[in-house]
Amino acid sequence: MSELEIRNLNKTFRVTKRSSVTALDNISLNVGSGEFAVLVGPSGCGKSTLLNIVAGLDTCDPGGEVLLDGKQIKGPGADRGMVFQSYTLFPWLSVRKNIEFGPSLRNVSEPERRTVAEKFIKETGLTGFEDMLPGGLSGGMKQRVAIARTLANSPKMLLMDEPFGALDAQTRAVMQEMLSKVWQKERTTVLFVTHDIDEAILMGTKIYVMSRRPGRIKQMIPVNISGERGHKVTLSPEFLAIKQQIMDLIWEESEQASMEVNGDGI
Amino acid sequence: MTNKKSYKSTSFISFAVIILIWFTATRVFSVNKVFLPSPGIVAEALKRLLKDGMLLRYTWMSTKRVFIGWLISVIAALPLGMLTATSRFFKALLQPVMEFMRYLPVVALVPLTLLYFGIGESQKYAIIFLGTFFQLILMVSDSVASVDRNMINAAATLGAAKKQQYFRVLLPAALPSLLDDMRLTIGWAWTYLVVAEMVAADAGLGYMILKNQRYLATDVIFAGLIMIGLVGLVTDFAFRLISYIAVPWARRLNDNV
Repeated sequence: MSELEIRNLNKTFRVTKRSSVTALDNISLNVGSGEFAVLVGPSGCGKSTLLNIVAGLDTCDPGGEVLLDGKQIKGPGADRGMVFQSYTLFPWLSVRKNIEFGPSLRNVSEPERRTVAEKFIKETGLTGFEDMLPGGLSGGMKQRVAIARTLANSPKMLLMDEPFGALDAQTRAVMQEMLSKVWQKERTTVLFVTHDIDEAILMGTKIYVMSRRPGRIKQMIPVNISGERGHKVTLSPEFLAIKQQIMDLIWEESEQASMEVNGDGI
Repeated sequence: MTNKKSYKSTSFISFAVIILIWFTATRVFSVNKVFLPSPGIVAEALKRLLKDGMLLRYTWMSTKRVFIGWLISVIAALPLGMLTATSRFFKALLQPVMEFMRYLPVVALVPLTLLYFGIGESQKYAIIFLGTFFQLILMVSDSVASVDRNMINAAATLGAAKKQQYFRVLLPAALPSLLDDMRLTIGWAWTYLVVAEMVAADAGLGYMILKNQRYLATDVIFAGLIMIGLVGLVTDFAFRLISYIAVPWARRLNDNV
């Protein structure tokens, strides 16, 4: 189990020679070992940028720190597995070979790779699809493979960038439950990005609500919902109370944003 | 197209129609045979040329020239094109020069190739190389650059080092369009072959066609053209077969061999 810590992270994008935009403003957060942290916020709040920085696919401004188990991260690495919103499977490899891709990079022996792949094929519900090429799979199945591929690489933590964003509502619900079950079993540390509030509460053990322009962490909300996290829970009073709280935070945001558009805000 | 059989018979029909029109033109409208010899006369010429072995020898010679010249160009263009696609430094270094070279008509370079390479085989390879290399390097670069960025990112987060990203993701992902690039450029190579055989050649299909223009032996010219077309068909078929076997995951809706 591993712990992620982000300290005083800023990210500015240069727009022209003279002007720049602050995408992330002084972000500090930590995801404890075995926690499922969710970043939720309106589009354009920089949550995906933040995730990319943690993955090492993007850099932050000097001074900011991203530490995994106390060690500064440098570039992308197998210790931080990432699941993307877009489909990123390798279309020339079968489902099984896709899942074995990470271990095969490290020359893990064939039987050992098999065993690991088999385990996650089962856990993500891909049994019977092992030898298919990704081209023949539905969107939901593709994301199952992407999740299995990441887990089979035994990362210290899992980064998920709206992995179910492109799926229809029913498929998304099924996938959320699948991921929930897998996570209950594996207890990997997760940082999950979404703009779907229900998804955030359903999946997370804590939620960071972000504001827009500049992207800031507005509030951290712990999710203490007892018992099973099935879809029935979305109607429970505890769930609805948290939802209300998050919606209020985001609503303030949207109001401000609309006033900015009208030119009489802030 | 519903099945392979009907695909083949339909393809056959288009050839049959062309031959029929050709036949009608020579027979019914009696076009002068110096301009357009009848299918029968051309078949006669083909038979004659095949019999004395010249046609096959020339076809082999020309095919060899095309293939070697093109192969050198592929071997050089693949790594350079990949570098151009993935490194800003190499892009800055190579792209503008390639764009410049690409516009130089190969015909205008013939005198220089004669000066540098003489009249031997290497001059033929040089012409075909010059005709295809600069196009190919840009095509390769384009094919590699259009690989989904996120696929590379995914590989990186799975722990793929730079070299592994190149050989285990970028190359296989770009392979279908790289095969297309090669298939197209080998076709162009035949154009440059004729350019190469126009001067300082004493064998080859291009040579045969140009020489017989002097004698108004139109039937031999047609025989040469038909051979080039046939070799082209076979080459295309070979490439499609390779694509079909090597990259089955990239088969398109109307692909078949």
